[in-house]
Amino acid sequence: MAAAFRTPSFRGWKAVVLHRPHTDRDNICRQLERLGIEVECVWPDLRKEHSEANVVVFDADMAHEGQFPWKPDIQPMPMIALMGTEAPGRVEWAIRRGAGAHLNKPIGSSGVYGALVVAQRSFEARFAYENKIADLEQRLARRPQVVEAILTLMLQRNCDAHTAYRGLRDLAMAGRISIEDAADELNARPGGADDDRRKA
Amino acid sequence: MTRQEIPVGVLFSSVGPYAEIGREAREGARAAIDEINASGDFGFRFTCVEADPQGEADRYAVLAERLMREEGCRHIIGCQTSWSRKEVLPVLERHQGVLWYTAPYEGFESHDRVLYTGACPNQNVVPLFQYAVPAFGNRAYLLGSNYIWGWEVNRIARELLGADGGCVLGERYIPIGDEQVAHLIEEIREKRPDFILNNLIGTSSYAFLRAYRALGREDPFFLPSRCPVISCNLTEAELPVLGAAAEGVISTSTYFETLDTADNRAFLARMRLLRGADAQISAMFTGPYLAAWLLARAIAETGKADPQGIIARLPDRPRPTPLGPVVIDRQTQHAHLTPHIGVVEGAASVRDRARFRLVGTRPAPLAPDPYLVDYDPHAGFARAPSGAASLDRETGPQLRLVT
Repeated sequence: MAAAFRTPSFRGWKAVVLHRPHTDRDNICRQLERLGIEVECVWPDLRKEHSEANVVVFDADMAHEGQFPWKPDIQPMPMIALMGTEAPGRVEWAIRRGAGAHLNKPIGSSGVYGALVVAQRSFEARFAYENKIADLEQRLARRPQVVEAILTLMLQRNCDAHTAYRGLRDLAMAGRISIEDAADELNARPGGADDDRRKA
Repeated sequence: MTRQEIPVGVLFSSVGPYAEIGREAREGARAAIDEINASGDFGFRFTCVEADPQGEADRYAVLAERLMREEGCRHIIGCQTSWSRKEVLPVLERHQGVLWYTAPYEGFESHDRVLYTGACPNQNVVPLFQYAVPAFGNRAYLLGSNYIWGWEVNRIARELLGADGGCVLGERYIPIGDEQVAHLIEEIREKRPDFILNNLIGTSSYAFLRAYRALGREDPFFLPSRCPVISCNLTEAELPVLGAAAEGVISTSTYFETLDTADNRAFLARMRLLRGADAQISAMFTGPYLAAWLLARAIAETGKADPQGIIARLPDRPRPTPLGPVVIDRQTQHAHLTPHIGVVEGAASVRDRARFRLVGTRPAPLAPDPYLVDYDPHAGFARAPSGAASLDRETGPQLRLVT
């Protein structure tokens, strides 16, 4: 069953708006404040402590790389880009800078709630994907150990590769560990899989 | 000296699927404008400029454009569905006008060009559930017309029920104006929920309530005392057309004819002189009526009909109206409102007049929270210690039982 839907609430969030004084900035602030968000406006430079903010809203037209104290590959929070120009270079930069959602200028009296939900969701999704990819990469890097364990089992049990793999999987399941961890464990035993049998 | 004439747009549908409430709304705006013009209290007169989209969502923007561009209206009192309101928003932006939106709605909007005087979710569906869940249970069947009002109110309902450990036994939508409801009745018969939340509008709602009453005659499980229909938008305006089918329906509204206040008694006496002793007065009537009064007070205070000035100078203190003082919150542009809960009685009687008996209210108006920022749906519902049969609300901080 799908998890129960929860109305996204941004109550208690801290937002940093990177924009020069302008009616667009005022309208953004007003919308954020209506949602119970504490807003700090900054121009021209973000400071290190702003990486603690829950969301950063930045001007994609006039802001530039030098204003951010963290590197583009580090995205500490969900970000929303405010776009006036749709020149592809600017859009590309906004995406590279971590914008998970955008609002078109001029900023009126709606759009921020939806943009926040989208930015937060895409931030969480990206975070989850990154973790998953790191995990998979790590498992991929341990493929030689898995092959070694299967070969050992084939030799010791005089079985085919499929059966040996099933045996390794059973060991992993019994120990509630990953296949890779089971392979490491097996390879570390002086007598391989039979060592286990001797002890038992 | 002749008084300045200020044109005010009145944009409601007098025919189409929700014509009953549209006509009431138009009457409410007319009544207030007549009173304002006759009062001598103001240095201006309102000219009521009416437009009738006939229930077609796409006609609202066209007519709003006409009201603002050709008729010179800076203010429109109108729209009763979120669909039509959203159609009108670009027109308001283009002409820097204001829409006074007086119907209850699903929230999650706070547009600069709209003043919202109808209840938003913390003032409609939340108090309705604070009443209904402890009284009847938390297994619900959700119904709606197939557009944003039903979708969003039912979504909030789903969240409220889920947080209470309850469940949604069914959730169905039918197009506005559709009267084919047999499949809904069949599913309800099978699922046997604790109550039904009805977000159908107009003729679809009438068809459903008639069919559901027939179901109750076949199987007493579906009588209002055991498995009631609850609603955020049923008002007195629709009781005559519904007849006996309305009996026992529980609704929340920020106005009921049966409110026992000196202001309301005086108001009803005036309205009955105007509309006849049998006229039903409802929130659909009082919404636009109050909006016109609030507009008149705002123009009197700011000295101009300029929408920008009126929005910029929304006061923190209440503005007087014939139904008591009203505050419009400056930050969200929504009104502080008191949600009441009423149950329809007398609808099945040939002698009595159908009316809402008040079963729950609050001592003071509730601040608007259109984005549910300050409300935690997961806080659960206060229940009376003696179980579902009791409606004693002493344990609940939100609603007071009216005896």
